[in-house]
Amino acid sequence: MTMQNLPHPDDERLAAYAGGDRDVMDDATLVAHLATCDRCRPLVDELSILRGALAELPDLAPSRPLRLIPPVPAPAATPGVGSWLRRLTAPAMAAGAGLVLVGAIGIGATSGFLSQASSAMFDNREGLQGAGAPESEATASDTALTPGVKGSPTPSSNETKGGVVDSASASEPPSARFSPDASPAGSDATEHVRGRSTDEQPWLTLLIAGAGIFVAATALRFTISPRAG
Amino acid sequence: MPPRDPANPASRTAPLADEEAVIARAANGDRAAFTQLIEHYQSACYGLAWRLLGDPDQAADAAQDAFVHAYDAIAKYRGGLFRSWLLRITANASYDILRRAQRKPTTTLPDAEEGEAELPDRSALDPEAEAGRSELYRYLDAALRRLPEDQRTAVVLCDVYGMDYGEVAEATESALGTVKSRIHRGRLRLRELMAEHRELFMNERRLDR
Repeated sequence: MTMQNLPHPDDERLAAYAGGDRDVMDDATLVAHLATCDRCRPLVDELSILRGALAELPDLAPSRPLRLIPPVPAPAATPGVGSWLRRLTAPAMAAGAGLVLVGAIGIGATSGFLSQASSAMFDNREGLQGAGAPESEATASDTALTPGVKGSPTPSSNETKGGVVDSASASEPPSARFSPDASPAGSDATEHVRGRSTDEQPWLTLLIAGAGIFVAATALRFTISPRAG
Repeated sequence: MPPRDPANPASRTAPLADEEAVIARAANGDRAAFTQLIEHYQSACYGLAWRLLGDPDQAADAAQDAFVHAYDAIAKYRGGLFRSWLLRITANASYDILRRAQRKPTTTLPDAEEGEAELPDRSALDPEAEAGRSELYRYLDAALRRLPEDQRTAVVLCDVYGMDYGEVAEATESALGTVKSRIHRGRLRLRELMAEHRELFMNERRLDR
């Protein structure tokens, strides 16, 4: 038994052999050693038996009932009226807030708070409108344009303004045509005051409407449940 | 006839008699067929998950995760043993949970000899097993729990569930050489841990070589 005097193979190689690892099974030296070694042969046998027992370990009953199949996927969410309304509330709130802001700025501008800053711009706008006026007033409009740009109105432009105000008051914020009046001494005070109050009206309407929309949209948003659909 | 699994002993769930037909129906979206398959193999999946994770709740979670993955993938199932296919999915689901838990690879599980209640009931599936065999299985499961985690997962996948080195490497996201070493060291360590119960397996089995 000379083989037994040779060094034993590494135990990990014996464990590989016990598992039927091809590389190790083909190792002639190791196979020859196992045939004669009283230490290694029983070790491999024991590992093999253990491995056989491991392969028999039974299946185990679950500790609790298992969900065997994923739940049926919910049908593609058809958004109901509620969810559509709810989706609209955010832009509506934003629009309402925007209107309130525009209205507030408008009132500020017409009530003189911003008139200093904006008068030049409004003059420009008036001038542009004048340019689009009928042929008969073309000359007057031209003269109106000039003082508008310069910021120093002439008496003739006052006449033109009066005509324009009457015809265009419905469509255009009239404040533009009255703001230059703050400086000239020629305009009378009562007309000025009356003009300002009527000028604020559309802005005020805008502000109130905006506030209304905002409040309504906010109320809707919190009334409709998030999962209405 | 469904293919017989040579590595599937009597203590394990055998394939359904009409398994191929049931699989085909499940692959076509038949939920009842899928439920039938999973119900049949749930103990196999749970057993693997429990042996990998060592915790009944985590094992149940892993098994259920695996069923969801299997449901999504069954249309792509291409033959082979369904049990093995399902167990590979279960191994991956279990390993995902292991990885999330970020336990050290050398961690061992709580001693099962004290927490015997943690060993799930298996009598229903093992009705004719002798008392001695059941005892051996119980000690083996207890010994597996005392292996370092990296060795336990490798031995469980390879020696208990018959996966080859490549499959174990894939499931545990490890190099082939690392996996081999873990399996071999795990076997040696398991033998040491089973030393005091040698008579349970050495007396019952006689090698015929």
